[in-house]
Amino acid sequence: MQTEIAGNPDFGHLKMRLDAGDFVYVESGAMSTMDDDIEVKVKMLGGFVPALVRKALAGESLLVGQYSSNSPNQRLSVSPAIPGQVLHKKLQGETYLMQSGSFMACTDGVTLGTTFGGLRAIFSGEGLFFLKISGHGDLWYNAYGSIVEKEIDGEFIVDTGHVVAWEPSLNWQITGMGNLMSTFFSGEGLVLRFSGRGKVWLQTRSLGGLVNWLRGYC
Amino acid sequence: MQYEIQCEGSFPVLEITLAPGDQLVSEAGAMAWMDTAVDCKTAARGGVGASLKRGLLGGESFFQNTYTTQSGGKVALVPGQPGDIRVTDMDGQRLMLERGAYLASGPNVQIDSNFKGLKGLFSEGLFVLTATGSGPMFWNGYGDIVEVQVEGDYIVDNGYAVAWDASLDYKVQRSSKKIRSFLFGDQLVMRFEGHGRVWTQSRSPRSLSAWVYPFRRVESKG
Amino acid sequence: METEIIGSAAFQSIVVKLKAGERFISEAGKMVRMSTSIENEVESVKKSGGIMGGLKRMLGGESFFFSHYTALGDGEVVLAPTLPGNVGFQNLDGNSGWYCAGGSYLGSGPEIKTEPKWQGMKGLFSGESLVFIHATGIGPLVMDAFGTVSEEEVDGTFTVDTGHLVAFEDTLEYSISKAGGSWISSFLAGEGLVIRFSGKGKVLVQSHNMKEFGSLLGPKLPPR
Repeated sequence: MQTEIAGNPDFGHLKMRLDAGDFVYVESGAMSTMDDDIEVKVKMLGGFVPALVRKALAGESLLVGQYSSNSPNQRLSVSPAIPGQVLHKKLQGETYLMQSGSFMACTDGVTLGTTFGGLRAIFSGEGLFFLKISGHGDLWYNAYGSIVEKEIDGEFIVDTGHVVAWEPSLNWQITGMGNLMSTFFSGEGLVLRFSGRGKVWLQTRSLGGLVNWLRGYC
Repeated sequence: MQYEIQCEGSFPVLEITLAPGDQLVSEAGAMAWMDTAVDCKTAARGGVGASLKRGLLGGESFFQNTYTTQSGGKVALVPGQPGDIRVTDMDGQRLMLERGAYLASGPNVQIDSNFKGLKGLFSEGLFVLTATGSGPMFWNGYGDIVEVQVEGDYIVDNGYAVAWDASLDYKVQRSSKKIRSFLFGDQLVMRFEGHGRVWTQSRSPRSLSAWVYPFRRVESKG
Repeated sequence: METEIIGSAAFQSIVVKLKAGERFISEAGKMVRMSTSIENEVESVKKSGGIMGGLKRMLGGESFFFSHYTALGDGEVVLAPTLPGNVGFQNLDGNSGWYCAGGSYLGSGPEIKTEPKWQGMKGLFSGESLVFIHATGIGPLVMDAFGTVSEEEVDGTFTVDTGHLVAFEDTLEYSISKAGGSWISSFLAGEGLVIRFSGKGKVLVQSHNMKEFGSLLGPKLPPR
């Protein structure tokens, strides 16, 4: 299977060539172009999760398309819903925590689980769950805007709409910005407070920010 | 106070390094990430009455954040829309801004909102912010920001003018003179006159709002 | 008449430079800025092909009306799409026409004729609007795109999700269907309609899908 990320930094998308026997899992609605011998089936991501809980998941449907090929060199292109950077990670057994809306595609061998964000996560607009991604294989994920990587050693604050992923070595907590009024009125909604050592990946725009801006013209 | 506009491409981020004694003000909601050494206080700037008026008419939110630090730290600010971020070092001049264009400023910059109603034309008015004072003022546009030097006159659709020198005169008018096209698909335009600069953005928030309209949920009545 | 595409890749617009007497047409509401020597007339319903013509175009995602620009003196008019992305451009030489899909028609020279073409009932069931604008004649044809535009030279078959289709040459045959083998499978996988091209001709594809973006953004805004 050959893959190529095109269009970065503003319109990242993934171009692939599949041979018979290749499988790739892609978030729903992402397919843009494909050759005739590409087949698509529906799969459930991350194992069984109760329907009620699934409904609360804001950013991502749990259903993914499983794409495979019946002949060699079949082209398949997929795009995220939102403009921005697309990145690739080769997983070799490590784990990442990821905002559910950032997942784009992966190969067999990558396991996708969910981790509970705590009740406060509902108000952050990101849904109840973050994805827990581990295993061995290829992972493609996207950001709204550009991705900035930060190495944390101590403490750091990130608006929840701007977090893409982080290493589980970090302690994390969803909190308000200060007092309740501050949180409610500062427009930050909630923030993720990281402490310890590890990397975070941030995005330079957020869907919440876009909504707040556009709302003034509606 | 030091600043850096980071990230190549259409989604830049403004990173400000604050030293003890510095003060930065921003739109509430603009903070993307920051060191815990930075203190962020939210308040209605200038008293509740003034802020409310600005919020309702200017399209900016009611509240603003003030950032200070005891030991020094960084704060990253972003606008809601994709596009360029610009800095103007204010030095006593007056700069007019479209309502969604303001991002952040130093403590000696004043931002006021004005509602420029249109008498006898449409109920849609023009929300404009006036920036005065001194120090850094950070603003942004939806899309690329292009500077146009006006010598005489020039027409800009009012969804696309993001900032202009207050020295320029302008009139808001319909783009077409024919009566029969009065109500349909017509545009309000700003006709600038005089000598000065206009900054235009390459996308219009109004057009985006019209485009997304069918995707919005329908309000159920009763 | 000269045209120039300006701007960063994400926010392209097109500058149309007109000499006195020259004309240009665009979808109404696309003008960014222009010289005062250019007259902009939004045409009446009659000129737009009557109510049916206007309705057809509206269902196709185009605005109801066209703007007619006439240069009374030398000047320029700058046009821009609604969403971030490239501007698509083709110079029609009269040998083949182009179909603009999904509201991608932005503007064209005065010698280009545009006609809405309805794709039939298939479009309605999935909520897609499948009216194509058929552009024929000679001159520049300008299009909107959401994302980057790539040109595919088809010689055989090629399948595109309709949300990613910008335009295609009318020399191509095409059929519209669901993506996967079964309707249920496709629907659950979130795929919309796909258009399958066969024959020889060019297809312009945009990297991002307007419908996906709208469906993500729309529900988060206040209800209408």
